[in-house]
Amino acid sequence: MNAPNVSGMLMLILPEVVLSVGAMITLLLGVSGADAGRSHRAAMAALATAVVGVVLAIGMLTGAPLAPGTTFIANDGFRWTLTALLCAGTGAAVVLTEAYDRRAGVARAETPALLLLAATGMTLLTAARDLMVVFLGIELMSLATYVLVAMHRTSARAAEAAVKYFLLGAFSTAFLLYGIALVYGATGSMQLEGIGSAVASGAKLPGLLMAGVALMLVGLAFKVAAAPFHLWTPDVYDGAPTAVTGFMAASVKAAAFAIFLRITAEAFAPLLADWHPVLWVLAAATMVIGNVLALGQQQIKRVLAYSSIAHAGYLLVAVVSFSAEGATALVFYLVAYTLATMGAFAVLVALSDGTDRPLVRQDLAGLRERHPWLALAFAVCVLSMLGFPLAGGVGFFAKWQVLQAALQASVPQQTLAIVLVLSSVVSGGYYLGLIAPAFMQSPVPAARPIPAPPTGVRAIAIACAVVVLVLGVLPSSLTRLAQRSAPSAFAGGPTVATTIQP
Amino acid sequence: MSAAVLLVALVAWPLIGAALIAVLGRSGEGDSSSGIDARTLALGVFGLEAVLAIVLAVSVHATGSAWLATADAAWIPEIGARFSLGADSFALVMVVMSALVLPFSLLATWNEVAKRRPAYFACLSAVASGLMGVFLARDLLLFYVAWELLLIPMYFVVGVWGGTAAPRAALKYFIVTTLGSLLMLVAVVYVWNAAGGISFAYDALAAARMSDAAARWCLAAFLLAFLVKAPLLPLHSWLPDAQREAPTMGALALGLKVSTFAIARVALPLFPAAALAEPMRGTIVALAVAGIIYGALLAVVQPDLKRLVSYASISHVGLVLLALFAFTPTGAQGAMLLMINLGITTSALFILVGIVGAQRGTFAIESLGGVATQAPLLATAFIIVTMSAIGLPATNGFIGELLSFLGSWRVYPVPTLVAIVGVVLAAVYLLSAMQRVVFTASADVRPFRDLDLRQSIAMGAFVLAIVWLGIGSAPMMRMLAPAAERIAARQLPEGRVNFQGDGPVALGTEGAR
Amino acid sequence: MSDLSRYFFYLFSLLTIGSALAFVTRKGPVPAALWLVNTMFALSGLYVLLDAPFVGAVQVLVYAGAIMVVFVFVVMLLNLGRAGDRPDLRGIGGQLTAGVVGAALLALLLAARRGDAVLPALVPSSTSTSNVVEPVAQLLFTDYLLAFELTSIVLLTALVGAVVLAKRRTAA
Repeated sequence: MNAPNVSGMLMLILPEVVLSVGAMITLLLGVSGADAGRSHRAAMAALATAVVGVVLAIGMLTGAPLAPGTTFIANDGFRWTLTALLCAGTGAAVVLTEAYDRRAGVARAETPALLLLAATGMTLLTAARDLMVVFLGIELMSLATYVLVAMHRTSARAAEAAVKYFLLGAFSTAFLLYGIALVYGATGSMQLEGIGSAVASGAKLPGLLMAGVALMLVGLAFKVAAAPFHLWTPDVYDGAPTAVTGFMAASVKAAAFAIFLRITAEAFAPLLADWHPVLWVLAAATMVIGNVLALGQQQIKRVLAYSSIAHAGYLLVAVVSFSAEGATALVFYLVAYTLATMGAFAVLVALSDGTDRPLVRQDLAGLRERHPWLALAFAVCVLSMLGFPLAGGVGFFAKWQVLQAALQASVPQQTLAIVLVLSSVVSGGYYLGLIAPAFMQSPVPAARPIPAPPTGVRAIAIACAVVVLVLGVLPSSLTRLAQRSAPSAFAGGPTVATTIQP
Repeated sequence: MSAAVLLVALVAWPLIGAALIAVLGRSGEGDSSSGIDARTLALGVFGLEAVLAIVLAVSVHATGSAWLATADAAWIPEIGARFSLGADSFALVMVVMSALVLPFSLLATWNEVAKRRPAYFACLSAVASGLMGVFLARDLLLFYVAWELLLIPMYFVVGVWGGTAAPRAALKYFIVTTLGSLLMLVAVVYVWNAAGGISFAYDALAAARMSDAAARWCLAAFLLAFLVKAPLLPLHSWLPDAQREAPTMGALALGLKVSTFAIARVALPLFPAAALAEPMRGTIVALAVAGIIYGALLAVVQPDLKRLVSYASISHVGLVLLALFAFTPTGAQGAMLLMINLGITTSALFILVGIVGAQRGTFAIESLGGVATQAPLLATAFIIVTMSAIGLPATNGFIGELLSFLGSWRVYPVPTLVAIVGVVLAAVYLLSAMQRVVFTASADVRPFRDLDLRQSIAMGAFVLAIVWLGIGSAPMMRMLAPAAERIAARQLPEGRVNFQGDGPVALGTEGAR
Repeated sequence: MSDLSRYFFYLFSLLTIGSALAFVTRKGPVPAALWLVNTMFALSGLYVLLDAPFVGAVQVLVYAGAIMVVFVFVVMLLNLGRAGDRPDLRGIGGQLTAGVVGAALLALLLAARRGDAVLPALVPSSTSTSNVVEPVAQLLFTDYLLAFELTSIVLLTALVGAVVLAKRRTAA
């Protein structure tokens, strides 16, 4: 029981330290100084914190040589790349929530602070190698997000969404926690590495272990909104404030996938043959259900909610591939997906009128005439989600990476690849259903005049679209980054996948 | 200018041009904003593209290699994709044909589209870039990107500038073609992976080690993507809808034979053995022949002139496919000639239909009529183009059809006979349509305006091409002969290239190699 | 595990589950809260059986003592504690069960009082029952320092969230 190397540990959790301290500063700014600019100053502080987080993560990625890290906190490319991504997403969310709340007249300092606290939990999830830290990270992320959803207290829909999210979130956390307890009971370790080696050497209590693994997977599947554990998603995404929905769809999901991959890679790898078929079915079902149900939706946020379910399915394909390529694909996809989602939601925030009236497709009508650049950015982001080359930019290469991972897996997943593309065809129907009104219809006079979108929101939408397009022509840098970012567990060449069924 | 620069320029210039048109363009008369008339800009873009194509065509010299001109640069080293372009004689002719069709059809449809011209021409320009990319790509990933590049701007061209039912037709077009191309994407990944995951060069991929079954599935995926767009029965129903609703230039761009080119250039060479395998080959031939008859029959009863042209082109595509899948040098050569000539003729037909229809505000044949008495130039052009579409000797349509029949006859005699029936039917519906539009007086007695100067220049160019290719196609056939032989030879690796002296027809000389 | 401790394990387990069931089925908030207190007590009994007397004590102190008192306090303060339309467990069956459970617990207490004869079997393989806090503290501030600190952030988040959502609305 040695005294831990505190300074070394501090270096590894520097982003979390910065983010949580930033959150406290943001809170303090929210109660100090002149009343008028409080929330704005707080938001700026939060934005600065998020930017520092990005810089730190990139510095760690490119600076010191990456070691595997401690038993609690990983220090690999996976951790730093995704931390940078999540901090960037949080920064964008800070700007979007501020603009949205301001329009609704409820801007307050707690929102950016909670975003930073959620980010603390999320970045922790990219690094966690101990189930205790995993649980705390998930709780931190979820708690902050529950509150963010409920932030608009006059909105009945937001309240309903928050209650639903909270109850189901608590439910899934209970699954996860129970699973963690059983896994600990079966393996005697809370650390992913320890669990992995205990499992590899043959668990003493296989039944207990299996039950624990199953419960943990259910809990994680809830968090990433994989079918059939997706039922909360549409209502919650629909009811939450639009900017928060963007944050949940992009960053919260990315963080959940980060820990999903790390747990499966580092702890459950020896059990691949057992959980692989389960995740296989989950992936296929998630893709199909998400895409098919999105078709019938009229409200834009519901469409994007189901689409995010479908994307969870695509990402699960990368997890199921279970290889360095799969991890690479996951990182690449998360970057592309975050960009596209944030860009699309920035446009939706720009279009919201400050009430909690749900946006429907008609609200996009004639967007080309009202805001041509936003319309273009929206089209690019949506096409990127569709995975269209060139016009959809990096989204195509994201799909490519997932397909590549599926077909290069030690047991090639042709069937999943075909399910993936067939369900993508379905997605073409609703994605174009979002683009078509923007370009092919005349604007409908709004019931309530919509003020000009703030510069920050506009900048995010256009910046996301530009990055999507540039990476769509020259994806090399991102590919290399993603290749560096496979978790260290996959570093040792081909993995154990020998007994799984295609 | 070196050939490599020309190749890159051919692909890149229309994209740059699209940006130029979108940014600098102005809608025209009613638009008070500063800028240049989008049509003038677009004409400049397409014109320069045509010049580039012609310069490339005259500057290349026949060499021993299949590629007359190549360009190559690193693109995505991580997966081995290269920005690699190349033109063989077939691609070159297709490039020149498409690059020439676009500016002339723009001239002919100068006033057709009134709203949002900059965006319209920017989309068309992007389509041009995609076309050139498909024709010139030597890297499968680049090909795929170019192939998909065609889709989005085309979706907008049909959906935004089309008729009342356009958004629906555009969506149908998008979904059906996306279905094909995404399945092709899986096949692309699979082949690339099977070839080691280091290169997308066509030659490297053709050497990929795959099981027979895998090769067949991959070929099926490629063919599905291409045949959906060709279109082949029973996947054809989007085409008449889209072409009917699309503005003229959109309709004719949909009619350029990109997909059959892609079959000859990409699908067949990548999977030579699988292409011979039954039942796929037989099924395609059967469907092609069914398409010939089906398209022709629907054209016969079609009351809408624009749809009639569309069904006629479905019928013609069947002919191209039949000739291609015979895998004889003559057949391949005939198919190539057909692709080129149909590109010209169908485009001209769509332009004429557009001109006639715009004046009466309808494409219903019964409302059109009496062109001959009021618009002699229009009538003349109509007659000549119809003759070409029927495949009358001394027009460009004849030699392609003849070679196609000769090529497929030895392999598929019965289907060829059926196809010939289709050609007879073509004569029936095209002549009767022409007769009704040009000569019969309709109930609608509003006068027809004749071709204006721009339209006359454009139609003059089309007629010139029709006649010139009809009587003087020997140089082009010499050019295409080696490419045709390669296509056929790849399919028959066991030395069965020559069917008793049935070689590609290289009129008068020993060939251009 | 000795027979005796197994017997008590089942007793406390049944108590925990039974109380939890009663907690979620009661209509009135106050009875429900009291059943929850009962659950907490039974749980702490389980902890003691697991050779974790410190956790057991903390369980009683924190959950049963602090949190549940606040619950009940708030419920009563806000006058939410109206009796449900369902009868409470005050029938003859309830009284019988309570009597049996009470007798069993009394037996346990008496056995513990009698000392060495029973207790070693009841609490097996303990390292040092006199010093139970130190190992926990040792772990908490060395190996699990990170988790410990994280918990404080989680609590801060919960605090901020509670204040934000519960605060009386002022003019925005």
